[in-house]
Amino acid sequence: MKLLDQSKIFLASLLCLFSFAIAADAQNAQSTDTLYAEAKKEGQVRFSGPLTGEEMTNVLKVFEDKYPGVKVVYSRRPTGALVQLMEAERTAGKSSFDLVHLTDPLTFLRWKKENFLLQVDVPETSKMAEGFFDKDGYFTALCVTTLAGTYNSLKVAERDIPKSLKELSDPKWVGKISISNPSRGGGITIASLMNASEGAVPDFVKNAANLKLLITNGNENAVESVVTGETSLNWGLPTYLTGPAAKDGAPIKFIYWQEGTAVVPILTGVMAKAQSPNAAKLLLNWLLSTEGQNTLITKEGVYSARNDIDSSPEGLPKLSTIKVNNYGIGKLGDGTVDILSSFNSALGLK
Amino acid sequence: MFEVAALRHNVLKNVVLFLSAGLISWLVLYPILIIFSMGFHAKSGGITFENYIKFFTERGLLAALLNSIEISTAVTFFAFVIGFPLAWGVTRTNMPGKTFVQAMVTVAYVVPNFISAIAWVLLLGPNAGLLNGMITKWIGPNYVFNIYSMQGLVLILSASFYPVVFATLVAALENIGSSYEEAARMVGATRLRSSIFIIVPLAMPAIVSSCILVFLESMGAFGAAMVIATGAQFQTITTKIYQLFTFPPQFELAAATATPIIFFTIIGLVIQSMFSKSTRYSVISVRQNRVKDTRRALSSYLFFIYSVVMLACTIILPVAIIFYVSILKRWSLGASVNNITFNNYLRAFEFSSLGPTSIINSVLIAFVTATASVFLGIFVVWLVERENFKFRSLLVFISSVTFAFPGLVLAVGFVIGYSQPVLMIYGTIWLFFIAFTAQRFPYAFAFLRNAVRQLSIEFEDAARISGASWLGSIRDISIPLLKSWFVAAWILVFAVALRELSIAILLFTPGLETLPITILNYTDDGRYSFASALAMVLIIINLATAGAVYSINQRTAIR
Repeated sequence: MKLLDQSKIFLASLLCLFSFAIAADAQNAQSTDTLYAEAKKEGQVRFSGPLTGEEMTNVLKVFEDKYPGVKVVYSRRPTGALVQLMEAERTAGKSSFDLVHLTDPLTFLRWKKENFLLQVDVPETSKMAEGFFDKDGYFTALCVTTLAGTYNSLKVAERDIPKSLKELSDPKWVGKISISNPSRGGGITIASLMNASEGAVPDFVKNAANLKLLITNGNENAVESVVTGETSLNWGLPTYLTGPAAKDGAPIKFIYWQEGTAVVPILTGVMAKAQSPNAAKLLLNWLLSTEGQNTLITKEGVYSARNDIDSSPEGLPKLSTIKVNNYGIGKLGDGTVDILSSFNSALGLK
Repeated sequence: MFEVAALRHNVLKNVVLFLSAGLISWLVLYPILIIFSMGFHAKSGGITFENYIKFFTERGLLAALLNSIEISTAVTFFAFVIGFPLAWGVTRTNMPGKTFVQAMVTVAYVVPNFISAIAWVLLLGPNAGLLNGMITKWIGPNYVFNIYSMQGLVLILSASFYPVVFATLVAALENIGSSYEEAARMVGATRLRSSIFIIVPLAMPAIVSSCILVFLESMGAFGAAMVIATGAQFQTITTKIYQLFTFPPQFELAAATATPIIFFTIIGLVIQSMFSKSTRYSVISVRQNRVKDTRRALSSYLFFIYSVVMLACTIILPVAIIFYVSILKRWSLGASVNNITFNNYLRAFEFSSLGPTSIINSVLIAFVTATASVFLGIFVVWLVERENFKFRSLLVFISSVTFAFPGLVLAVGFVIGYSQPVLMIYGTIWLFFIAFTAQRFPYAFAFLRNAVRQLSIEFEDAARISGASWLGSIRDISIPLLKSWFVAAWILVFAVALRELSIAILLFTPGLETLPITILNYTDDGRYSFASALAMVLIIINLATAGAVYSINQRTAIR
């Protein structure tokens, strides 16, 4: 009798759970429908960030096909230029964009503190690694990118290809390494520098001047310097930039370091002064959905921000197959000032 | 009756002149005042001098300023060394290939700085530069030139800015009649002596003016400085300002950092004023009396050789490398038959790319900017040079201040200033017209001021005595005499507006991309071949426009 009662209770519980799941799903579906209806009234969403323009247009076309009546106006801007514009607009009390993505988590942290972002409930953050989203819902990773070592295959002989970050201190690399200026390259460059610093020999950053680095203005120029052979190696470039170049026939190959390859989130958030907040939320939800993430992976060459999606961009390994070091919001937020100060004083940069 | 008409003309004149002065003052001062008021804002909300004090106490800021002064001085020297002989050859000798030289120099000026810098890195990068490769192979690795250096930046900026010296001096020297030389020769002076002691002093206001323009433009140079100075690990004042604008932006300190550039503009204007007071000649004459000697002396060929060498080093090489990249399918695979294509050019005109939109936007903005600047310039220069009024020096300062003012800083003033309810034109092409005119007006002003200074006031007086109205005397006498200057000013403003990036990068919204913006975006995306094709389109548009304007000018010239 007791056993029968227990079974009944168990079955009833299961039934309840199932009902809740269906109800929640229905509510979710309903909320998406409501959001879509509101977004349609707004008509368009203005989206901006550093992800490459033509590929992003292809990604957003999938969204527009799925949600007719909601147009996405995408404007490609490097992180630095976008932040400058947003700050100037903020002084004027307006915002040209509803949704933005940046490679710099510190900016998002500041914007959150200054009430420049809208709090949005994004359920997909439960599937993300810690540090890839804001716990209060002000911003979240749109996707992540690996910062793989990149070398010019015409300049570096097979036997010389480094496997460990410790090998970077070898005098043979003096004058042959480029990196993007950490003061201007946002979170990507900081994460890349942190990863090299943590994996290489002690005092690597303090002695960085000995390497006679070529400091470039932004990651794009760092990619260019390796592709042209002006420098032979970079210890960590975003693969969403280098992947297409390699696919395009550029003589570059990647190094996934023994000590681990840096992985950094590209963050996104809805602006507090968004003209089309519903359309922005709809787009954000779709970008973080399984369909959106897979579209970003195939068309934009980035990795998913979600743990449950393990596919990789064409020509790049799955994250589960390489050793990775995550550089999330907390790690970058805490360590940026120190590492920047060490690096700049080592190189005499002011 | 006559008195009423004279009064009416006088009122009309004053209204036109002071409206023009008021308009340009508004265009220039409004964004600058917004920026400078930010310099006094404390983070806590009150008023502070902290940002301005910080400029003088921060080692990095002062070092950046000193670097800029050093670089700008060197660039001014080299721009003069290159530009003056070229201008002399084109105007005062029978050198062959004059049209070719003029066209090529125009090309040098229209290529955006950041594209020139990339081209020069491809040529003179210490490890992979094409020229350095040849130097290593034929002369030795010790003679390699490292473009990532202060000298490298001087080279790029000199190659970019000597057209300012050239264009100013060509316009000035063209208007100096040969009668002065002929008179000197009749009393026994040699050709060289008459050139040095007669023509050079006559052209001195234009020489000084062009050197000041180059110095100021070098102080405000940004695109090339970002590529080279960052690589060479030094700062200039503009890269420092840019740094203050990012992560997190410190607009207040950036505004304070822009202050020295204003001081340099004032110093430049004082020097210019000193020279023009000590050497004021009326050299523009109604009679077209250029050198008529059709024989080609040895000096003509020497000038030709010098011109070809200079053009090859400063224009043909970098443009050739841009063209080379533009016809490659894959930039990194080199020039094999399978890798060559003209599809990048076809794509520039496909509506699925940003090419056509940005071409139309750029041409429209440059056209409006050049036309508005020259029209406003005529009236403002007239007011400055022909009228006596209290705030003359202030108007000269206002008309010149944006020349070296960093575009990025100015753009912030425009974004903030034109997002206010009454002036809500941010996000429209109208703000581009306003911002570009405010930034590029000093070119037209400097050019036309030189011209008006060389034009004797007696022509206008004669016309007025014969009953012509003020506007009539300008329209029928002064404008025809100064037409070559107007044309040169229009072409120069059109060229610099066409390549402008530092303001546009903050002002553009989707659909308002200009060609340099699109080129920068495709460069950032790693699509160098397509970006290079667009850069070539930019050069061709400029050449075609300059050619068309020259041709119209020739057809309507006084015979």
